[in-house]
Amino acid sequence: MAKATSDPSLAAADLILSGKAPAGLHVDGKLNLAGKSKLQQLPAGLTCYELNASQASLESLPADLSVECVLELEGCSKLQSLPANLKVGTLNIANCTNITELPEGLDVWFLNASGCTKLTHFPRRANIARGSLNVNGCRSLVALPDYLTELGTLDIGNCPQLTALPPRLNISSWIEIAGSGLTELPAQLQHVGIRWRGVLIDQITAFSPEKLNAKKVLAERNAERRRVMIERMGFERFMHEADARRLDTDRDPGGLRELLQVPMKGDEDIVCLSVNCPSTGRHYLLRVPPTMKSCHQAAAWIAGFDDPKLYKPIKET
Amino acid sequence: MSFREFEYADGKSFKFWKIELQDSDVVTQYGRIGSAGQETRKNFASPEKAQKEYDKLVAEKLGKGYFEKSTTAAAPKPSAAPTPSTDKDAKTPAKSTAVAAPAGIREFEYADGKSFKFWKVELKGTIVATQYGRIGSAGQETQKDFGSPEKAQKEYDKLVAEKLGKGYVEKSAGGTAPASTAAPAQAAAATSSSGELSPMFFSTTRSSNFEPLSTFIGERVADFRQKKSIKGKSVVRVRVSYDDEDDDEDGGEPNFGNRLSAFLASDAAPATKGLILGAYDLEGGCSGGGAYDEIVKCKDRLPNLKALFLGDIVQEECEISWIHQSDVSGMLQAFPQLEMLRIRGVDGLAISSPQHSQLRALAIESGGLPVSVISQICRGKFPELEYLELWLGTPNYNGDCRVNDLQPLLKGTLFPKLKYLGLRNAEIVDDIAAVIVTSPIVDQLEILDLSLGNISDVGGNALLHLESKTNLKRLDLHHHYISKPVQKKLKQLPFPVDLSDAKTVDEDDEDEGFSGRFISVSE
Repeated sequence: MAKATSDPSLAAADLILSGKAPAGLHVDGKLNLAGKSKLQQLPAGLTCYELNASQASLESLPADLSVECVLELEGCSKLQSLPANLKVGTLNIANCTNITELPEGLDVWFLNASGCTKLTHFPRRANIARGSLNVNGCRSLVALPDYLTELGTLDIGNCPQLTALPPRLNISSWIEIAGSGLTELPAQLQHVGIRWRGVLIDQITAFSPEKLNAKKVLAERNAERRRVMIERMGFERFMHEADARRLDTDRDPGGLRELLQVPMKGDEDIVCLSVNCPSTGRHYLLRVPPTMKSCHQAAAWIAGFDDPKLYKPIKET
Repeated sequence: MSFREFEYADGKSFKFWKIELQDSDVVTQYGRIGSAGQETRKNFASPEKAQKEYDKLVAEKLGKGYFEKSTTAAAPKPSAAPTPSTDKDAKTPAKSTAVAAPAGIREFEYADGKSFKFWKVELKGTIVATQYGRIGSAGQETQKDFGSPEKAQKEYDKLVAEKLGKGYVEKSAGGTAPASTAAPAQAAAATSSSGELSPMFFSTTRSSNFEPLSTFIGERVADFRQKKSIKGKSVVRVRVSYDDEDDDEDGGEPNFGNRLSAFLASDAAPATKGLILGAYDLEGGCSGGGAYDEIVKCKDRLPNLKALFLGDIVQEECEISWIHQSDVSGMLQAFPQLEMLRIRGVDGLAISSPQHSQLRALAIESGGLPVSVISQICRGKFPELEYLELWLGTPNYNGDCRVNDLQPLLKGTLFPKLKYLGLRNAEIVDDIAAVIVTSPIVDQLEILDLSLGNISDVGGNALLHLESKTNLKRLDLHHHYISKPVQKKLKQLPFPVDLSDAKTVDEDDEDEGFSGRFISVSE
């Protein structure tokens, strides 16, 4: 029975690919043109419920394109612009690396513009509300527009130039911030969930990692969260504060070498080799597998030797 | 309707108000309940203007908390609990009880696939009296003395909130509940006065799919057998089951197709208001396309059909993901008077022509609802739809719907009469919570049902943004993974929140994503 609904849209897809589609083509359901790398343009006046043209070679879209629910254009790396006043429930332009700006009058609930590395700014006038906004990896983006007032979720991860949020923005669920330039949350967002590469963390871990200490980290039962806390705190400081157990010591040309271990509840132990560079004298803490028993074994593993007996360096520098 | 009657009671007053439209005249009558009251008559330039005034006055009274007297039962009881009276009248004991007692009675009803019951509570000074039982029966009574009116009031409020939280529906509210509990169950159910199904019956199964229905649209389900009379029954199920005796055919095994044909040809068919299709064979096979074609062919045999349940098949017979369905558009077309359609299982399901001018309730139970079906519903034309229940399930069983696929529905313009929205058994429930709180659809709903899913604190916290939605009468989250602190915050919302059946995950096992948090029904 599914055939009855998909046949007309399959026929429409073939017609569009042949380049003979008439203007004003209407497709009742989903039009699937994903992965059609030869597809360079869509017919004028095309209307459909859902359109997937991901990975296609589109450079632009017809000005009068009308898609009701979902418009997928992920990975359309040649796409430069979108039609003005584009209105659709969901717009996915992830990894459209040639897009520099979004159209004036854009009206969407859900916008995924992640990986649009050339995107520099938002339109002066647009309606992006209620759903989610994802600009993860939009490295050229310096600000979000003030008209953003209501979002379900917001992902500004890996947007190092984004240092502030719009003043009236409310987010009902969570904000992803790993790798963003954000240093604090505005007053109205004090209760929003904060994510660090998908892991829910608290405000201290997010914005005041200097206030973290090893005791707090070790008291955290969730292993994912604990890993983020150690990352935010800094590995060296954590190992120093956590009273690591010394599994082994010896000497190498850099001086004293130590194999340190901190047991982790519900996760593998943290074991690392503490060494000094013989040339520069700088200290390094290198994480090694938890099965390491001696400094030599750990150094061998770092050099790529699973069997420490085979690791006989002539000279370490 | 040109005549309506209202009542109002609180700690101080106990009064009635009636209004009647007589051509260009609006006549009102008002006074203390029990007295004749006063009458006013106002003439307007045209019947249209009079109608306008009539509507305005009615809206005004409803806005003030007046309750409309239902046409069937005795005076409906106001929902406002009495506040300890301070006026002079109340100091005379006789009047005090006369005023406070009726104001303190509230009456509730509850129906699902297993039960059909009422619960009444009355505040009598320091005593809280409750009465409960099956609808149609007299039920049992309890009384408890709390020593002080304040303590009794507190208990009364607590009990009422508890019942509302469990999904009980107040009888006086909206005038939609069926007739008086004193009447036999039959009269209280689908067959009552207006002939329209009570919205109370739309939510047929409260939680899961582990037992076949014993009642449907408020009536006992009768299993059709060729050699057994089901005279007088109007809710019929056709199925084959393990407890079948070989009394159907001439010594042969019971056969679904033969049984369905026999039912359609029988005297029971024309009287049938609710039809249920159950298991198709004893090897885990399920009803589907062939049966629908047969029913559509014989549509004239079912002139009174109002409610259909396709797939009353329980786990023991067949996993929900194996239940085979097909395109139900033909059924929708064949029965223009149908008010309710419930479907269990979505393998092969389609609604290729999603439209019906009378359908009020649509429910689809699944362990994974394909986005293709969602998009058909999102392009649907169901102008009368009040109730929409979708079990979204998990991607592991084809539930590939994402929250943005629901956007046409969340916009709120699709089904203007929708009062109940159930996005149940969903693995994406946290994502739904993030978006639904600011979606226009919520402003028209009375009940938002996100139960049976794996909602966590992430979703729970997002739902706290519903605090301004006073139109909501209930939020159902039962079967959830919300922590105690967030549960506590949710209970502060201005409407009852069902937080029963709390599940827990061992934090040590919790990894990114859903691991450890499961929806109620998948396979």
